[in-house]
Amino acid sequence: MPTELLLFYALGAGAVLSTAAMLLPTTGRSPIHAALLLIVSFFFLAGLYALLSAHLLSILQIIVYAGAIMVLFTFVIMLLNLSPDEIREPKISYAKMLGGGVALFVFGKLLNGIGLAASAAKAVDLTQHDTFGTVKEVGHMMYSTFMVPFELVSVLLLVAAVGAVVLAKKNLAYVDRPVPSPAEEFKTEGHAAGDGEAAAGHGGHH
Amino acid sequence: MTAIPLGHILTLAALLFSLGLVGVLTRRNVLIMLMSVEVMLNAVNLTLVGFSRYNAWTEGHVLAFFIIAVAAAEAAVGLALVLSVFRLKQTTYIDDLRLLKR
Amino acid sequence: MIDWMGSLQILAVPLLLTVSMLVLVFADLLLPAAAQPKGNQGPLSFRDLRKAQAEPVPGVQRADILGWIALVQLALCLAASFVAPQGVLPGGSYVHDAMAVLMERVLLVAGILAILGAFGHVRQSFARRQGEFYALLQCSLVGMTLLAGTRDLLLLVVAFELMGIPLYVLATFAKTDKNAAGDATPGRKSAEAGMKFYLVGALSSAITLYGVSLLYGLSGSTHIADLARIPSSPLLQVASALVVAGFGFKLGLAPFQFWIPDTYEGAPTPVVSFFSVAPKIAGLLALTQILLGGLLGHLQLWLPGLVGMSVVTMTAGNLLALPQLHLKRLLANSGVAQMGTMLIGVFAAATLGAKGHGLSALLFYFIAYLAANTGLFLVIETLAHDGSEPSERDLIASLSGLNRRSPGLALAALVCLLSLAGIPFAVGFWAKLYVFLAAWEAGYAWLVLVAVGVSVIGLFYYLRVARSMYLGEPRVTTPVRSPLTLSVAVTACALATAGLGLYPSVIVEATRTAAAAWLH
Repeated sequence: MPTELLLFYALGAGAVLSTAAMLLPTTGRSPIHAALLLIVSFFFLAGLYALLSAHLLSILQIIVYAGAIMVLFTFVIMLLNLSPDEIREPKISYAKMLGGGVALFVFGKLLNGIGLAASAAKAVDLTQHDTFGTVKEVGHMMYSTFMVPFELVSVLLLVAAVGAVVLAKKNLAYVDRPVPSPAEEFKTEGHAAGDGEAAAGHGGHH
Repeated sequence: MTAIPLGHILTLAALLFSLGLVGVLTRRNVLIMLMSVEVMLNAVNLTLVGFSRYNAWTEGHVLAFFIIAVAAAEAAVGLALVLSVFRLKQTTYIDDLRLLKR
Repeated sequence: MIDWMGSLQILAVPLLLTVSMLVLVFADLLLPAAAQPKGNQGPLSFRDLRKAQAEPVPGVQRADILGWIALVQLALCLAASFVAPQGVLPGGSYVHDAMAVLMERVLLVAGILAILGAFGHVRQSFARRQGEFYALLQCSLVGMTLLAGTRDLLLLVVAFELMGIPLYVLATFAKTDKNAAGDATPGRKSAEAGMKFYLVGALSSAITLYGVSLLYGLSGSTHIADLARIPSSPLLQVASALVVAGFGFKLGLAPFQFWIPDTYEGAPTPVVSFFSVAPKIAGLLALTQILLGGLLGHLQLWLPGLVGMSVVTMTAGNLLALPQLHLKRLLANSGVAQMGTMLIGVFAAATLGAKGHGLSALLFYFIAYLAANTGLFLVIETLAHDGSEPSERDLIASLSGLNRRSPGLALAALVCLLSLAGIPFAVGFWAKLYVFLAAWEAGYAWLVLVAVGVSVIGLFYYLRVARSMYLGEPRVTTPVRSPLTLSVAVTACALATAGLGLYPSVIVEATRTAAAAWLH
């Protein structure tokens, strides 16, 4: 059996096994174990991408997916600071069995579609085209043909940053006190100094 | 010339996608559900890489790149949401989110 | 050499919206607080801001200047949509044609109405976060306006995400709300709503992306028009089913609509008035683009399934709305049913193409739905503002006897209810009529009969609300007080609903032109 195919099976099995382990409520019950198993799975996938000549993507998988997104997950799990007894025992329920059935149905349909269309496909010979999947080629296409989505993704990341800060900020209660309309503000201006001290003492407790 | 048939790659991706789907539909811990969605997005990337390798198309890599960026943005917002829900309700299990009656 | 100036002009509206969002963020940073307590001179520097956040400084408040800035910016973008040239972006990924122009305006109007309706709520609940509130709203609009004109799968995917992610955050904005009794339940509901919305949205993105990746693999190009070259195969069927399912989650098609009532109940009402309309319009437009622009030659793969979904959606939406006493949940389920009816326009367009009126009927329905639905949600927001009984808030009971308290408000609500029910002569009647006519021409007579049948169910709950307003007993008899901006927004929606109901031809022409531009 050619080495490539062997490597593919090994890496593929690794990815599937670690993903399955993450999902099983025995090994993957605690969120931190699940996060670490997912990181392992991402490394296997990065290896698969490298095997398939997607050089830039395999490095990005490690840097961004395993190195940034999963680190974010791990940080949040740390911040949540769950104790072991807060992690629940798994229960079997009809809803879960239905969910499993749906996923099995989807998998069956996918296998049906893939099997006929793709098993005989032959790969293109890349010995002439040795810049395939490199940073240069992907970058060239991204900055020329896909310039607009690229700039759009930068806006998307800004939105995600703003949204994450707004959602995760603590102690918003004291800043979100109701703001009177300008008319009311001018009416109560005379009382502002007197109320100031009382409100300052009050506000420190939030 | 690579020896891996396209069908193998797509089947592996389909398997990962289905595993992710099982995770989202079955697990009750919100963090695990988010991780399962990440698994599904990785299956999408694997499909794209497979198709690209077999036809030497580079758009597939660009699409996968953008999917990674989108996944990062979604994960950031989702985790901030989990954090704010946790602060309000002290739980990360979706079964406990019951204030909104069906 | 890329024609930069031409490209920037074609992308004028989304570009202007992005710039507006950035200007708003900077304004939030740099503008001084509106009212200063005695002894505090000048704008807050960073140091003062940090101090203010460490210990609350009394009396430092912010007027709703950011909301006005956002409103002016959206008005400018609306004006820009009248001068931006039509054309194709080099590379063909975005086309600014009559359809994109019409939809841009519709979506910008939805944004303007949402901001008008949000002023009071923002001032009361999220005063210090208002910069982010308006900026996120504008970002979502950027994604939506790009979806209106996209012809490329990659741009569609990124714009779709850009549309969705700010909405998850906006739905959770009320997480610090407390009841009159100091109970944090409204805040918890908002957080739950955001969480459920997010999970459904993330799942929907993953499924849609898988379908898109398979479609790309089969066609070899990210252009939607190139999807037509794919020969029919089981894999194509799976791919289109995945895309339809993914969009179905987001749009609230049965059997994926269960999250909508929960999310609408928990999220803050001005935000709900926005995302009950605008993302659905943009999302359905994007789905129609994929189905009609790329998969038209493979009708047998997706049309039967989608027709089935439409029937189930209409029926389920109407049936689930029937027993509802909670106004927002009632409107949520009725919105689901309306979405099912909108799909009928897509079927008519798919079968008859440029020869029928399915697409223009769909666009007209969008506008009718926007006016009526936004109007009703803003009426709910008005009542919440008025300080109605907390136990009754958002229930049909809060509307009871509204006619005695504020006849104008009751009339506005009545017009919107009639429109949603499809009673002549509000605009909703014409919308339903056009869609049903188009479907009848295309050979879907049985579907039209089913739709009319379930619409009758809709009459029951819409008229129940109307009856409560006019014949019920109000708890208090004081007139309803509401911020001026909110009243303006409600009046605008009611006038549009009534006015277009009497003179629909104004908009019908525009929709015909837009549809013709798309289906050339």
